[in-house]
Amino acid sequence: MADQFPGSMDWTNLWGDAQRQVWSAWTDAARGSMGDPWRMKPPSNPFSPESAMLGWQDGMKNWMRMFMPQPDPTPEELAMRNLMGAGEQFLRFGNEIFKSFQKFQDGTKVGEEWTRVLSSSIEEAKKFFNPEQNAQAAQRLIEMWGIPLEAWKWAAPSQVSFPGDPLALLREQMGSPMAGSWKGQLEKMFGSPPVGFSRELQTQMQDAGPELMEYQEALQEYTTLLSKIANRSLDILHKRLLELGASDKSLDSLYKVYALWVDCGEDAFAEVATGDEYAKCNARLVNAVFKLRQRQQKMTDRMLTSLNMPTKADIEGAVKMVHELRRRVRELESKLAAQVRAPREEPRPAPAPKAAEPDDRSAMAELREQMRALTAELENIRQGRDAEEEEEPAKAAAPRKKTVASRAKGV
Amino acid sequence: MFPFTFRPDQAVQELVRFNQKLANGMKTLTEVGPIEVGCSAREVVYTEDKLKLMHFKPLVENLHRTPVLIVYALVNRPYMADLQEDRSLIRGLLKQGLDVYLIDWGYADGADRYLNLDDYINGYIKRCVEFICDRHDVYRINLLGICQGGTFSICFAAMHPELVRNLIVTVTPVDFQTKDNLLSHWARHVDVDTVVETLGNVPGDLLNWTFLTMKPFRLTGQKYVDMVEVLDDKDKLRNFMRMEKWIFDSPDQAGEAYREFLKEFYQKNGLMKGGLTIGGKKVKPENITMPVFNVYATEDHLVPPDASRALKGIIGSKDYTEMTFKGGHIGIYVSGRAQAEIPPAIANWLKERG
Repeated sequence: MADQFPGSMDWTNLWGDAQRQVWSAWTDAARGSMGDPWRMKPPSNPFSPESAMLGWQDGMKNWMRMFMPQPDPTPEELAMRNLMGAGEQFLRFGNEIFKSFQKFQDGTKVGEEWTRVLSSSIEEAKKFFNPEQNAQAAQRLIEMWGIPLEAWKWAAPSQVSFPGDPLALLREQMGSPMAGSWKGQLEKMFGSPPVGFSRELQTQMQDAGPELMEYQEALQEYTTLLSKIANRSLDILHKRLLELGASDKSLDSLYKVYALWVDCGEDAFAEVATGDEYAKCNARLVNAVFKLRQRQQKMTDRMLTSLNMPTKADIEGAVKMVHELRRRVRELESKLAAQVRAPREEPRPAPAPKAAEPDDRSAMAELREQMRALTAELENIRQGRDAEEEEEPAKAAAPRKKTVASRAKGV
Repeated sequence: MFPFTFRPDQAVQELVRFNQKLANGMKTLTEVGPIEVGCSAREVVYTEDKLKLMHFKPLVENLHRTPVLIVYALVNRPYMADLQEDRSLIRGLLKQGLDVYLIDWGYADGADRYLNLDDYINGYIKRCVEFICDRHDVYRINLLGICQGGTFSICFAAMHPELVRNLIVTVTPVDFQTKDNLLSHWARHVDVDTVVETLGNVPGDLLNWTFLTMKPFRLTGQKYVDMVEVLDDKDKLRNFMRMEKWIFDSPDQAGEAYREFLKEFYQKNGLMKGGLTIGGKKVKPENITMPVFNVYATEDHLVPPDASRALKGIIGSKDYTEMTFKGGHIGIYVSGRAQAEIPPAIANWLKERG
């Protein structure tokens, strides 16, 4: 690399040209699939390296917008979303690598000096993901993790909003659940005694207080753990790059660097995720989320009761009752079928002997068991019943004798 | 030496090419048409609630005497076993002369909130087995369980050994607390009661999210970045889309069954530690005295090999066979090598046992 690295690269033109090609590709794609010229506005300054990445992502995001609002996406739409998400991730990664190149632009840094530049880049990246040093760290972690946390947002109560949701007020006041100063705000909010016309609402909110605080604490703990994984992955990446530098091996494409980064991320994740700390932290967050959602449901139920409308608990009670009735009907049907069958049916052969029983059971005893089974089968044959299942190919004929399934909806 | 041997302009061109492929791929994606799954001819022979019992049309004249019932997991859809013509366990079994049935559990909804393991195992599965016995005029059938469906099949065979002639399980968890079982590790501290009481039925998407976070970078990022390379190949794209359709086609889980499964298996490890009861009946694996064939995958991150191999130590059968497949949890059904190895192995093992 050292010999190939140009001392002065025209970065602006490089990105500008690239971006033009990308815009052209996305515009063609849009024309092809939409059947209608798709108006895309190119960025105001496409030749600025800073805006170049944004421009690339905007091209994709216009596409994504077509698919995002669907609540129940088709497999094609879902695949598009996931491909776009991963594509965006790869481009973001490429952008970071591009920035690293800029650091190495000065030819004097390329020799053995690269190890020092690499170390300082890794340290900078760690700060980027450290929630204690960077207010945006949590958001960046989520971006780095991409789709999994998208789904988590769906499950988390902070995303749940419905008419008359009293906790929405709390969330509005707290802002983002990732906000750093949430604890003081919550303590203040729950410290004052409920008075006046809205005291019932205040009481409900105070009841929810400990659960909301537990959720916030659990989320913060989880985010801190994610930052540990991010840091660890950077350490592993650092180590592997140094090892590569010291060996004859090299990385000859951006994709190979990306694949190495993915390996490092998976290794770091596996180290942490298999530990007790992660299991407890993950469970604490899951438990906190569902306790809070349960609180929301209870509040909603109270509101529905006041409106004389059926609550979740009412509906579940009715479903449970129907289910129990269904089971009782099945049991009765089964007993009835057994009674109808009993007078005209020989018992089925006894099951094979249990190997777990004491070993003192002699081979003769086993033979006697088999003899008994054979005798029962012979008796069946004598009575005109065709019990040749052991000797003939199966016959998909009409049922000979119906068991419990006789009342079932055979098609 | 600095280990990157590509120049910045090459990196940029790589990004441009990637972006162009992605953009063109989006066009191709809109042109591939509907994604069909389930390739083998079949008919519904029995229904109950959401359950459908499928019978597959035989592909050869001389069928093996005992029919096989495939019990699939509740977590995903069973068409994984019959994805497309060249990736179908079921088709492979049919070609080997087996008479194949499959339980399609359908999609649980609010009405199924209180279905529990007793309903599934001593209810639905038992009635399907009895239906097949009646239809074929036999006392016992062969049971083939897949993943969670394998666990159900083990429990069923332990409680109703008189109805199972041979038991086959594939990538089936038995010991839920092996050291490398990440799912179990995570589930141990979760308050399952609160989850179920809050959600009722547990959304399939939530389970999917859990599975994806087991390998987050690879399964949500790299897999799709790799896919961009073949987006212009319509056949490969269709195959990919079939898999994607299956992965994200996750039915919601009936609340009570989910609660019991998590608590009894993942948290208490009931099959290994004993004391497991389903519907008030004790599950005694030592009652499994019929021949058992256990197939597991060496690279399975959802059901690690040790979790499956534990079966040998808890059953009463003296006729126990293990088969190792070099691949992952899904590859065992859809990879090219699996088509050549798994169905003949199962069929030959069954034929040897009459």
